[in-house]
Amino acid sequence: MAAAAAEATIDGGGKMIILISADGKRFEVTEAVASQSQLISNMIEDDCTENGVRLPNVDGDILTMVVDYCNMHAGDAAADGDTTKASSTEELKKFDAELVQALENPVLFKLILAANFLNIKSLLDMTCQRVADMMSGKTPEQMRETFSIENDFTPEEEAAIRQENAWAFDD
Amino acid sequence: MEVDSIRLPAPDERDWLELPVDALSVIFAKIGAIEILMGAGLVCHSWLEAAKVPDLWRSLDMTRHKVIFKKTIGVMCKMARVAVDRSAGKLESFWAQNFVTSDLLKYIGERTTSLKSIRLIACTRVPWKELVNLAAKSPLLEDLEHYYRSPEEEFFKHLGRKCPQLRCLRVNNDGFVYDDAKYDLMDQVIGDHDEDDDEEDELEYGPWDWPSNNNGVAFAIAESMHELRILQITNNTLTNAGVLAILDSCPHLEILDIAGCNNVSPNDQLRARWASLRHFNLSEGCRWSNFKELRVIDEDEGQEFRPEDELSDGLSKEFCCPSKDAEMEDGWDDVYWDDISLPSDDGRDPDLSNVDCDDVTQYTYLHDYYSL
Repeated sequence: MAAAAAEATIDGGGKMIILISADGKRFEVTEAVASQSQLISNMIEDDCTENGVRLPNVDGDILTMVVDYCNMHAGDAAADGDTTKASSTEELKKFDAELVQALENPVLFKLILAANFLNIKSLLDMTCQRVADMMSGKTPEQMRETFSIENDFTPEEEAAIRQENAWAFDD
Repeated sequence: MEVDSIRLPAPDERDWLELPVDALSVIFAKIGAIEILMGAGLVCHSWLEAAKVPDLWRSLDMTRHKVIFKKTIGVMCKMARVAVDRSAGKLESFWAQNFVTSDLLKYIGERTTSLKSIRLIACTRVPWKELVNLAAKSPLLEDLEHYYRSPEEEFFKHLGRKCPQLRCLRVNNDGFVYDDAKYDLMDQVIGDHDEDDDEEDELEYGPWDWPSNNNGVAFAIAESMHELRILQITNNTLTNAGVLAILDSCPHLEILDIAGCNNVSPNDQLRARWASLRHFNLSEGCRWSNFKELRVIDEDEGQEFRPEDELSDGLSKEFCCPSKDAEMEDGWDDVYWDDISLPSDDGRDPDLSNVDCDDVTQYTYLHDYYSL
C-alpha cells in the first residue's frame, strides 16, 4: 500500500520544476511539490515553467523554507488511503509547529510575503496565524513597537481616532 | 505569461506597513472584530484602511474575548455598531456574548437583510420580541442561538411563523421554566398526530405525572419549523409527546439535543424514532461536551482567570455530573438525581474529548442505561 502510494506520487509529480530565487539559488522540485503554490500550478498549466521559474522577490533562504514546507506537505495531499497517514499527520503538525514557533521578524514577514506571492494558502494561513497571535491583546502603541511601525497619523487624525474609538484608549 | 515579468516591489524587510492587503486581511480575519477595533485597526493609515474593508465584517463574532468582561454594555454596543457600519449591509453572522440591547438589534435590522446566523450568548437584556423582529427581517437566516434565555412558548410560535426556513435552532437555559398552559395549540397538534398511538401511555410512563402543557415549546416548533436540521432545547419541560411531534414535523432533522429534559422517558417507540437521527442527546452532561454542532459557549467563556473561578468550576462540574452525595436543591430529591446520573457515575466527567457528532456511542450509552 505504501509502495503504491509512493509510486503514485512519483507518477503524478514526475516532472521536475526548477525554482530560482532572487539571489540565483536553484531548487529542483517535483510538480506535485511545486503545485502547492497556486501561482506555479497555474504556470504549469500554461506550460511556462520550462526554463525554470524565477522568483525575483523571494530570497534563497526564504525559498529554502518554502521548499522544505512544500516537500513536507506534498505527501500529505497524495497519501489518500495510506495507512501511515496518521503518523505522518503527527509529524506534519510537529514540523509546522516548530517552523512557525521559530519565526521572528523579519523572517516571518518575508515568509508571509512569499506565501502570499506564491499563493500557498496553508503556509499563508499558518504564518498569518503567528502574526495574529503576536497582535492579540495589544494596544495600537504596543503593536507599533512589536512590528516597528511608525505612527503616520497627524496629531489631528490621532485625536479624531482617539475620540471615535475611545474604548481602545480608556484603560 | 512571461516568467520574468512577475515582480512585486521588494519592501524593506522590517517594514510591516508594506504587508499586502490580502495578507493583512487574512490576519485581521484571524484576530477578529474586537482585536481590530481595540488595536490592530488603529495602528497606522494602511492598517486602518485594511480594517475598513466590508468583506472583513461579514462575520461579526463578539464572543469569548476578555474585553467583553471589562467594558460596559454601552461600550460593547458602540463597538458593534461600528462593526455593523463597516460591513456596509453585508453582515452575515452576528455573534455576541453578555451585551446587546434592543436598540442594537434594531440598528442591525435597519442596516442589513443578509444575516444567516445569529448567536446571542447570555444576552439577558434582549426581549425575545426584538430578536424575532430581527429574525423576521432576515430572509436568509438559517442559524439562531439564544443561550441563557427562558424558552418561552410565545417566542417559538412567533419565530416559527416569521422564520419557517430556520435550519438550526438552539435555545438553552440553565433550569426549568414552566410555561403557561396553551391547551388549544396542544390539542390541535396532538390531533394532527393521532396516528402516533399511545400518547396517554407515554405520559404515564414518565417518572412524574406532568401536566400536558409542558409541550408548549415542542408543539410550537413542530407547528412551523419544518426545515430544521439541528435542534437544541435543553432543560425544557417537553415530554415524549413533544419529542414525537418534533420528529414528525421536522423530516430533515439530523441532530436533536434535549439534554436535561427530564420529562422525556425513552421507550421503544421513541428509540425507534430517534434511531434515524445522526445524533440524539438526552444526557445532562453533554452541554459541556465537544459535539461540534452542539457546543454551547459558556457565559464566562473568554474571561481571564480569576481566583474565584475555582469555586464556580467546582460547582459546574457537580451540576454536569451530579453525585449521589451532592447537596440537594430544595424540592429536588434523590430519585431525580438517580434518574439523570450516568451509569458509571464515579464523580468524574465522562471523557468526551474525542467524541464528535457522528459518534453514536453517547446515545447508545444512555440508551443502554435506560433499558436496564
